[in-house]
Order: sequence, then structure tokens, then C-alpha cells
Amino acid sequence: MHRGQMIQALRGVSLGIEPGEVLALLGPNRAGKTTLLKILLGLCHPSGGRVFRLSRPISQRSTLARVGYMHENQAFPRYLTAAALLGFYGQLSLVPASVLRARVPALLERMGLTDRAHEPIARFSKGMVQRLALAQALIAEPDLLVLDEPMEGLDLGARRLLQEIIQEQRHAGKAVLVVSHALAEVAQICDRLAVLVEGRLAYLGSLASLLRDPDTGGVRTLEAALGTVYRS
Amino acid sequence: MMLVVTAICVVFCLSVNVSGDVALHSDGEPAFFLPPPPDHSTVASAGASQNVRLSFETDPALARRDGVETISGRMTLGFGAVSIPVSRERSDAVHFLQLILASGIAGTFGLLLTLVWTAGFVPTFLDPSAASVLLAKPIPRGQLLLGKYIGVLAFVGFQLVIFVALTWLALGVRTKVWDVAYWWSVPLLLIQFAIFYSFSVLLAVVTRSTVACVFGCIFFWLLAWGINYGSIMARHMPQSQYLPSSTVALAQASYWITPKPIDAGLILFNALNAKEHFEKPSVYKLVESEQVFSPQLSIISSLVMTGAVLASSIHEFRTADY
Repeated sequence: MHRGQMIQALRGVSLGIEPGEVLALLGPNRAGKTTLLKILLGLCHPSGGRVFRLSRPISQRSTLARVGYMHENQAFPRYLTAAALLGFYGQLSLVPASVLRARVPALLERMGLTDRAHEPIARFSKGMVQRLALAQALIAEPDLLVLDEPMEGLDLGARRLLQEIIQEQRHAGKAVLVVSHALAEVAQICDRLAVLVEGRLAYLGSLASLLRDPDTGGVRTLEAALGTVYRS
Repeated sequence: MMLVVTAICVVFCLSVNVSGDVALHSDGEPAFFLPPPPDHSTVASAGASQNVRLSFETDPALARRDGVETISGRMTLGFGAVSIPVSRERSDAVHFLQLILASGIAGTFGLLLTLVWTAGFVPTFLDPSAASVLLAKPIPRGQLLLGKYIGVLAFVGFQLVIFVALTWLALGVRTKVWDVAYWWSVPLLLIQFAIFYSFSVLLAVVTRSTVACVFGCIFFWLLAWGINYGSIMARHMPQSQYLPSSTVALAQASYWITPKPIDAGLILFNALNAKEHFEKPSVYKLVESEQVFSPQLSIISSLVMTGAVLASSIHEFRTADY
């Protein structure tokens, strides 16, 4: 439903993500990326089709304990400190308190926020909040990491850190789904691309095979969907 | 904002002073009220036949000449800025102030202010950028919403305890009257808030709008007053016997399914032992004159309705798309 009108956001989309794989989900605005993400995370209920999360039906919310999610805009309670926020989200992810006691400082150190651990988030810059959001997504050591426009607001150092973390997840056999509207942001880190256009899956495959055969319909679709950004 | 109101009330309590009063009766001795003054026509006719002279003057010297000893106590407010004669014990003056603080300041102004102030909590909580991360956690949605509701109640309860504790202490220090009955206002007012706030939560889940919650909650509060008052009048007005049975049944049903602020006011009045110091307002007398009135049943029925409203909110929250 959108403004009282029933719209079909996704049509015949069929894709999967394997352990140890980084999949980039691309598409212009209103392509259906957010809807697909919301269905995967249990925020929206699909009107049809079959959706599995970590090989289980999405109705099983317990699998969300093994999913980490970083939203594109952060709206954390501004009065909480960074350490308290990670502790809170860790509890919501059903991580035992004894585990959190060690994991929270380790994550803060990884994100370069150790010296700001006990400061309220209200005093943080946008980049620091983004790094905290990434730490929040990693708090349960998830098997599936979902990153929605993760590069937004990150400085160069933080982007490099994010890329390192994504590589670590891949090597640890974890799946990573990165949602973006700019191919240039994800080209270096993804194994496969999925391009959504007007609710349909327009392309699914590796960037290498796409570039090997630039005359495929995939390229034209990419150009139509993303402009010439992918060539950069 | 609530702390500012509390601070103003505490300063007001610290500005109170009572002097010159004497104990009228010993502890445990029941208090009796003087009958209302006689009608002037009766006095006039009695005076004509028996030459009776009644003086309603409050001058102690005049009264003493007639063999009556009066109390010439005074209560000062605003650090002596306002002086009010106290014709009874100081505990009456203190109970009067406590009644004003509990039912007027906290129970009416404070309750409305808190409802308006907390109306934005759940809509903010349901903002897509905040809710999507929370709802992507394995915790059931109902548990999240209930946790938020209980968290707000705990916060408001804390503010209420601060208000009651500080005003009680301030009045006690200034007047040496330490009546613990005043503390009953904490649970009773918190129950009232919990009942009205459940409706605010339902509005928030359905509309996700702070404005809708603020105005909806105030409207619901006024509606509850109207229904409670209307149902009492429908049962006691002489004309009510001419009302259609369906109207009376509707008034009764509305009474049981909506919050009952007048009942709550009466329960608070009784809990504060105010009846030992003041005459009950007529609407309270009407409520108590009913054989069927039960404070417990009134509170329980309101809490059952609160539970139903919360259950509806949780159902809506669980099935909604975010």
C-alpha cells in the first residue's frame, strides 16, 4: 500500500545468496530494493511467493538473531552512550550478557570509538554514527549481514574499514547483502550483482562476466537503470 | 517540563506556614461537621417570636462574649504574601493543600500535560529509520511495544514519586503534618495515566502521528469525563425514568467500557482521607449513593479495558508493514 493505493512493488523476483558470498543489490529509486529488503528482514509481509531466510521460512523470527542489519539512516536514541547502545541491541539480538561484556569493547575498538564509548550519541558526527551502526549490525556475529547504502556519510578511512569488514565476513563464510544505487560504490567488493528495475530482476550475475560481454542485454539494462555510473 | 511543575509545587509547599491553630479532637475521635447555617427566613421568624440573636461574625471577641471560644489560626502562602484564616486544625489546611496537589495539579493538569508530552514517544519509536532496525531483531513485536509502554509507565511513575515525595516532605517540614495517606496518590494516578496512555499507544500504532496522538488523547479524556458524568446523571436524574431503556443500557455499557475519571477522583478523595476534613462534592455523593458502586470493580473494569486496548495495539503492530 502506498498513499492508500495498492501497488505491486516486486514481480517474479527470484534470487538467493550463498554463504561466503557478497551480493550487491542495485537499482534506481522505486525499483523495489527497499521492499525486498523489508521482506527479507520481516518488516513487510509478502502478498505471495516464497521467501527463505537462512534456509528457513521468513515467518520464523528466531532466524533474525543470525542477521545483522544496518539501515541507511540512523535514528538511535541520542541520550544513550555508544557502549550502552551496543549492549541494548545485543540484548535484543538475544546475545548473552556475558558475551556482550567482551564483544562490545572489541567492536568499539574495531570501529575506532573506544575513547568515545561512554559519550552520548548526541555528540557524535554522522560518520561516527555510521560506524556505530555498523558495529550494531555486527553485534550478534551474524551469518547474514545486510547493509543498506552503507557508504553514505563515511569518510575515506571508514570506507576502507567497511571494505575490510566485508572481506572478513566473506572469508568467514558469512553472506553479505549490500544495497546501493551506485555501482561504483560496490563494484570492488561484490561477487555478484542483482539489478532491480521497476520491481523486476533485470540482471543477476558477476560483474566480470558482464564486463567480458558488454553487448549483453545486461549492460543495456544497467545503463538504463543506473546511467553510466557503472563504467566509472 | 514535569520537573519544572514539581519544582514550582515544592517551592509553593515550602512557602506554607500555619500558626495559631489548636487541636479540636484527639486522635481517633470521629470528626463531625456543623450543620449548614439556617435559612434566613427561619431565623427571622424564630427571632420574631423568641427574640433570638444569631451572629455569623468571625470576630473572636464577639464570640467570646457569647461564651464561644474560636480558633484564630492563620495559614500563610507565598512566604507570607497571602494570609488565610484557619478556623480548624492545621491538618485540615494541609489536607486541603494535598487534595489540591493530588487531584488538581497532578490528577488533572499533570495528567493532561504528561499525556501530551508522552504522546510523541511511540510515534518516534515507530519512525521507519528507528523501527526498522528494532523490528529486524528476533524479539517479538508485541514484546517490544509492551516494553515501550511499561518503560513510559515506569518513567512517569518515577516523576510522580518525585512529585509526591518532595511536596509531602516540604509540607511536612513546614507544618509538621506527616500524613502517609497522601502517598496513595502515586498508584492511583499512575493507574489513571496507564488507562489513558493505552489509548495513545493504539492511536500511535494505527496513525504513527504525534499530532493524532496528542489531540486524540485529549479528546478521549474529555469523552471519558462526559460519559462518566452522563452515566451518573442518567441514573440519578428524576427525568431518567422517562429515558428509553436502550439509552440507559447504552449509558451503562459506555460507563463500563470507558475510563472513569469521576470514579477515580472519588477513590482518590477517599484514599486521601479527605472526607474527614471536607464535605464530598455532590457528584461523588451521587456515585456513592449507588448500591452497586464498588471502587475495586471500577478500577478492575478500567484495567480490563486497558488490557483490551493494548491487545488491539499489539495485534495491529504485529500485522502492520514497516
